[in-house]
Amino acid sequence: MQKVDYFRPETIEEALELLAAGREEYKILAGGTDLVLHLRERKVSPKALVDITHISALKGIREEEGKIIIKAATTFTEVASSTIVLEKIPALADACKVVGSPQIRNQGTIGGNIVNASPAADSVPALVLFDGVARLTSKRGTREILLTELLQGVGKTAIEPDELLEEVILTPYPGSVSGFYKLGRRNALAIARISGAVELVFAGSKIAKARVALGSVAPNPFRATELEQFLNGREFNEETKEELIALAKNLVADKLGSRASAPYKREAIAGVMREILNRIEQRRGR
Amino acid sequence: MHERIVGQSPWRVDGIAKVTGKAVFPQDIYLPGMVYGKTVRSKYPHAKITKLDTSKAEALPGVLKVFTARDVPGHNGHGVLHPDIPVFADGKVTSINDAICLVVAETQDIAEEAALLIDVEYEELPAVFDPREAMKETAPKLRENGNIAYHLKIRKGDVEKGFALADVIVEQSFKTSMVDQAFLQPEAGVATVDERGHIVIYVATQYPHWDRTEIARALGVSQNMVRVVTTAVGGAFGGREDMTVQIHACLAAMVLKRPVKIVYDRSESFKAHSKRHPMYMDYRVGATRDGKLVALEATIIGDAGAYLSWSPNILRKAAVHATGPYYIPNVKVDSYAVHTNNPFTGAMRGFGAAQPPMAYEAIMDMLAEKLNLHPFTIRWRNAFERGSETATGQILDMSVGLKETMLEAARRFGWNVEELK
Amino acid sequence: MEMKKLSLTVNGKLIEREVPTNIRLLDFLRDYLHLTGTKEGCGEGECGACTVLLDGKPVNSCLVMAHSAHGREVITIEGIGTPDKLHPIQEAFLEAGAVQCGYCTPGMVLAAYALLKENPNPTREEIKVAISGNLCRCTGYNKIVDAVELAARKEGK
Repeated sequence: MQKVDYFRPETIEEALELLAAGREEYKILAGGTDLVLHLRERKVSPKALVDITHISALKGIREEEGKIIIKAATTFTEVASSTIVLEKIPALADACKVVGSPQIRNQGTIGGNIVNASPAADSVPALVLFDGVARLTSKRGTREILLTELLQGVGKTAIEPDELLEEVILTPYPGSVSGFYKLGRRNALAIARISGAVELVFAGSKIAKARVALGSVAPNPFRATELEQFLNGREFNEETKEELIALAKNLVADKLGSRASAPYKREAIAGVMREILNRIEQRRGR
Repeated sequence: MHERIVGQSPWRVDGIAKVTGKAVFPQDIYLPGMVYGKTVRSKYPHAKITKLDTSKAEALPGVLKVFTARDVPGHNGHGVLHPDIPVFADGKVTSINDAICLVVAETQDIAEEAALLIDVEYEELPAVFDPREAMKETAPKLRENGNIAYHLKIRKGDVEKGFALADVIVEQSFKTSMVDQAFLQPEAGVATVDERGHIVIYVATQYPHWDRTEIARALGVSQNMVRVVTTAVGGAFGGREDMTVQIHACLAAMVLKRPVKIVYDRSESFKAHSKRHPMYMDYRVGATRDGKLVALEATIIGDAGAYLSWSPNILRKAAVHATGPYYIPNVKVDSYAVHTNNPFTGAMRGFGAAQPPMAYEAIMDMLAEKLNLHPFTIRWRNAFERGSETATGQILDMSVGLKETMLEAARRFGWNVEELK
Repeated sequence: MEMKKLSLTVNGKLIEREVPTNIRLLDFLRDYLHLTGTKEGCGEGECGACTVLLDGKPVNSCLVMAHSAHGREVITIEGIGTPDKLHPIQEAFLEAGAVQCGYCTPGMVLAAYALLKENPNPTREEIKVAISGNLCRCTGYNKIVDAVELAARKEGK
């Protein structure tokens, strides 16, 4: 292993001091399931690691005025088993349940998953789905930014070197039902080949409101507004589902263009969408 | 003593050590004064080494020595059949497996740091990665006498006469992939010089006696000077038949008079050991209307990669198994092992018998479809039984359990066996 | 080399050491404490051979920095049972023939241990999920699942 110093702040203030001092030369360690590997492979060479997993103020999930706030250092296991998440935003529980393996889920965090900015980040489509907003803090102050604006391509974010992702704020539609599905090469320890998340609000047999997000189709997970517009106001029936799938196939084909994975993914999205809609149907009955 | 063994399920002898974490694999050995070795490997599949400068690495505090081809006192090579895998590349590399040098340092971190400071310059040479290409006259030559390392012919009966009797003929080509054994415990070894001056290595190996012969030959010492101690072996599946860390660790221990530990990480493990042969299999098989096989012609080309390893034995086995468990009166098989600049291939579960079934079983299904027969029927009508003669002329005069197995399997599928025979 | 004080509980014992800042929990356990039952198979969190329990939960010790375990509780295979006093899970692995090369075994036993703590009567499907982060290349999965079922029955007695 290459040389690297290590700091373990116990408060957000201490962490911000360190980040302000270290700037680009320090890297935040928020679980390390990717970072420790990248250090060994010398893909990154920071002077020091700022381990934020010992800051108790960065852990936990709470609900506030219809918003669900997840602290950055909350692990996937904690998110997947949270009652608030399971009841209000089950799509996120679906997503956190299929990250890597039990070991990875016990160690990896929501914050780490966002900041890594991987196209295949498992939790991010579900976070983007609920209009996820990142709250960034530094010694200079605090700002909020939509995740879709924070993520700026593969491995790239709009986070300044002195900023700390403190929490992500989700705004599900009241009374919504949601679901997520990931297609990997295996059931465990698989990187998403393609994933999707859907949130629906029902008014009788009709869809009153809809959100759709896709992962592993573009440099970062994104909201599929075309699909959302299509769903708004439709009857929730087989015909709508099939039309949605057809539109999703076209969207995936458009996004991937001539990439080698395009012929596979534009077919695979059909199964992913069907599985998500099945989950929503089951949950709706509850 | 009336201890009953048959019919019992005793605990395995090394079981208690393994469930408690006490079983000793080579990476678990820590000796006083132990130092660490890190291998630097080729960046190119085929190249001349125009410069190898180890001075910066050797100048790093904590580095004891960098070993290169110049430091090998005996034969600079090893291999289960033919010692053509260089201990260290000497002026040339023929695959990305090739070790250029070994850095030995006081700690693993220093060894890794120093390995990055080894300055190697290459002049790339044309390379060949497909064994069919490598068979051509125009291909880059990896050996003076050509790239074909092995050719086996099996001839039985007269295939042309056989095909003349056929009502249907299926002709199809198949290709299998290169596969890694991916045993869970990456290669590791600890070598030391004992109080008698003998070189001792603790290593997870499938072949301790042959390792000893080859280590002694490379070090230029007599065999009684080398002792190979097999530790717990964390899976092998054929991948530990050729040596990896053995000579490097022993050489360093012999020269430095310190215990030397080498542990590969997963990615080096993939580079260091053999793979399963990818095979091109071109088949032509004929059958009569009632499903009797009358002729089979097959060409099997196995990619040996850069070094011989067990290739002849494996392509021989592939050829012998080319007809599957089916009686065919007229057979013509040509099996080749061909060198390329790919990672070398060797033993892996099945040893050449794993690839042909994909071809001949697919062909059986294709024939069944053409003849409008059940897949069971065509197999049943040709299956080996006691007294059958194989393509190589062997008479199977002992137990042959195929038909019994087929019957039992068919019953469990709920098939009406009497109708299908 | 940067050194820092690391203080943590390993298998019930408080341990305090000055150790480099760049080492992983796996390196600390193996190279410093010589608790070599924790194995490195892939070094990237794919194989689970390095599984240890961190505050009771299985993690890949190859992806945890040693200093991240400061103030926390680590349990390794050496803390589960000894050759003289096997844990029922270890006995079940032996009885079910769930041990072959043995390199995945410590990680498998720890994953099973964590599962049975939380869920003493798991279904086969739940067992498969619990060991889904642990690879066995001898492909003895069925017998490993059998062993965990057997262990659950033993402990339930």
